[in-house]
Amino acid sequence: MILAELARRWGAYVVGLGLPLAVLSPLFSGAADSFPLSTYPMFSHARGQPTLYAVVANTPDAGEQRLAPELVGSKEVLQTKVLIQRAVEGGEATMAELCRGTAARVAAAGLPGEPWEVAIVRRQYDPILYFVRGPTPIAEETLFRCAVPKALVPGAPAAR
Amino acid sequence: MKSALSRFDAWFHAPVPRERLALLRLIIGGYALIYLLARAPDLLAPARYPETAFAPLGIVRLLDAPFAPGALYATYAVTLLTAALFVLGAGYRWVAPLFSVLLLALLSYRHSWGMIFHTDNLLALHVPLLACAPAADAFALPRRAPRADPPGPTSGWVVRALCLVTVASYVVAGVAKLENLGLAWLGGDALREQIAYDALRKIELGSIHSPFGPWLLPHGWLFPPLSAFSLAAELLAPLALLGLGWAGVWCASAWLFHLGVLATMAIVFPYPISGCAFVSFFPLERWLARALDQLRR
Repeated sequence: MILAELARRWGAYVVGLGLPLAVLSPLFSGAADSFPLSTYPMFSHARGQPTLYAVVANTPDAGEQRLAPELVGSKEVLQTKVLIQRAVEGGEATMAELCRGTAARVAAAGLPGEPWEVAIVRRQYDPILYFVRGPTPIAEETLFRCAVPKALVPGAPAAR
Repeated sequence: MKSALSRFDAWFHAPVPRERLALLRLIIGGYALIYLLARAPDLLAPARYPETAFAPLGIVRLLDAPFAPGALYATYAVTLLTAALFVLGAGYRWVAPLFSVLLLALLSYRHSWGMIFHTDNLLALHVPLLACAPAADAFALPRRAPRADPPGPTSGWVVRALCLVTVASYVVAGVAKLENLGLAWLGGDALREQIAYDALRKIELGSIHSPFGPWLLPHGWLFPPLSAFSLAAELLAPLALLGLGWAGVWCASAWLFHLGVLATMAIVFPYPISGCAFVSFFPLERWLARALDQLRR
């Protein structure tokens, strides 16, 4: 009986202190962020002048539309950010796959302004100046373009 | 030293009424059930993700390849079923550990696609702890026949562990800021940049951003006090272990911190914002008894 009680008490210590210590462990182990044990890196880094990748749709009047994340690949914005970044890191083939998939969804969605082309772009910004002075990027580059399927966009110009 | 250890032992094992554990089961389990239902599209979305995006984390590392869509749907369905049974307290001894493992697996799987969200960590840690407690001795279905000797208070180590895990996670978040930026974090520039960056990337990615954050950005003087408050809310979390008053102040501060994140960056941490992450700090059964008394009058 006493042994059982002792075992219960020590079991409680192992679990009840072990789990909080495990939560604290990334502070000492230098482990990478994971789940459910995390380094909680959010909001802890200086952002500087970040380079962002985006998938946009171009319209015949030389306008540009931001595309909702679900048109690019995921309903979740951060997941979409990673999908785009991985496609860029993967090179032409993966960018082509992402671009064409997005273009097909754009065509099916029937967006206003009849976008005729989807582009993967890389832009560098100063985030604070973006809102204080205006949304002009410091640097900009189009990495990949593909046409929105013509059959679904009557009268669209050919892709460049 | 011996006296400090025995004081700690007395605090750690101090008994709690079984009703408190049951209320924690109802609140935390109820939150998990609603979360599973509300987040179903996101939890099942990996069925459509390309295999190349699979980046397993935590217990998902045991998998060599992503689940087949059918296996993901089945895991979700069984998790949902065990969540409902967990809330009811039915078959708790077997259901609770199973639910905690399934919940951990499902949430880990959601994070195993290149982007780790930090909104589910506490829930995934709280549920397994609750599964170790006799949390279905009250307010459970099916109702058990009344016993001649109703169970008295039980060791409250699980309640203490829930509080310790909560506090530890906030401390880690606070230390991460100091490790990466040092005391410069208090200058406010990092928080200001973070709010601007968050809104910018959401605009670039075609998502919704908070208009309140960008509205604050021209007012640079606001950010040092906001940074100091948020860092204090994280690093001073251990104060919540000193007693009910301290716990009240810290939980309110942590809640306000999350409210600030929601207002300025449209980032929702639903578990703390709902208050469910903090309930283990409070004598819920006394609050319930008082509320029922008020209703009877």
